[in-house]
Amino acid sequence: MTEKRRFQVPSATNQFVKLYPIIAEIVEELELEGNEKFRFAVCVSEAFTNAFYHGNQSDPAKVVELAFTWDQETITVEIADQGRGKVNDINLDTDLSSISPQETSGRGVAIITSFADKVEVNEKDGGGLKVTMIWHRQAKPGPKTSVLTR
Amino acid sequence: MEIRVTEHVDFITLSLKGRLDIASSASLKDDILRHVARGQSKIILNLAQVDFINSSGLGTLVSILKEVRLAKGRLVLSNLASYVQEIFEITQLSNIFEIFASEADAQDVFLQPSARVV
Repeated sequence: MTEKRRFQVPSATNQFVKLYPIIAEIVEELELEGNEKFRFAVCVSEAFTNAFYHGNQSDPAKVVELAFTWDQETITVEIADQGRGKVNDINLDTDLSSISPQETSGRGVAIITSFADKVEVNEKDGGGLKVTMIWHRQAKPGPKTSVLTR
Repeated sequence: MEIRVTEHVDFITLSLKGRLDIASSASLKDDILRHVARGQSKIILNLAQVDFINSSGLGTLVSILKEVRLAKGRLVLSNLASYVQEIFEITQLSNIFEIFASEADAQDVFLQPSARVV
């Protein structure tokens, strides 16, 4: 059986903290624990932060949409903004090992691609970017994939 | 984020509790830099009760580390939960931070005679 949860958070600065009860609700439903729970939470947080601050530019009139879908095999998280970003603005090929430890920014996307099994970025009809993160609940061998779709 | 400060003769310990993200990073940096400006630049950050950290929090810690070193100080970390330790390792930040398993181990760094400023 497939479960779905959808949320919208306005990009007003004082609304940012609404992310955390959402994450808490989902990780409880998914029964994630320990490092697995932390990795999932970090990925959602990174994508949400990018959508909130970079995509929507903290515009209170815009919302970040979060959609969580899961079944026994797969967890899918989609996070979408209403900004003007383009697919090429996000480099999914950046490896964490290529980022100097001295850097104070620029790790968010690389952390997502390190922790999620598959990551896609798409441009939405009407504007905005949607980041899709996928985890396979039963470990399967094979390379990770990152896909950019216009 | 809650910050509890313990002042010792040779150093200070800041025990952090809560989330270290974009919302809490600025206040943490301001707080630490106020101590540095007062000459308290030997600092232990006890992360035992940090239950969440992301790239914003990591970037802020790097920025704080640079400021402390610029002030000829020393910043060390202690008591990282396993998930926090993991993100320090995959981001290679474990290469630039001094990380100790316990606060007692971190204190030894500042209590050694060679660490004292004469």
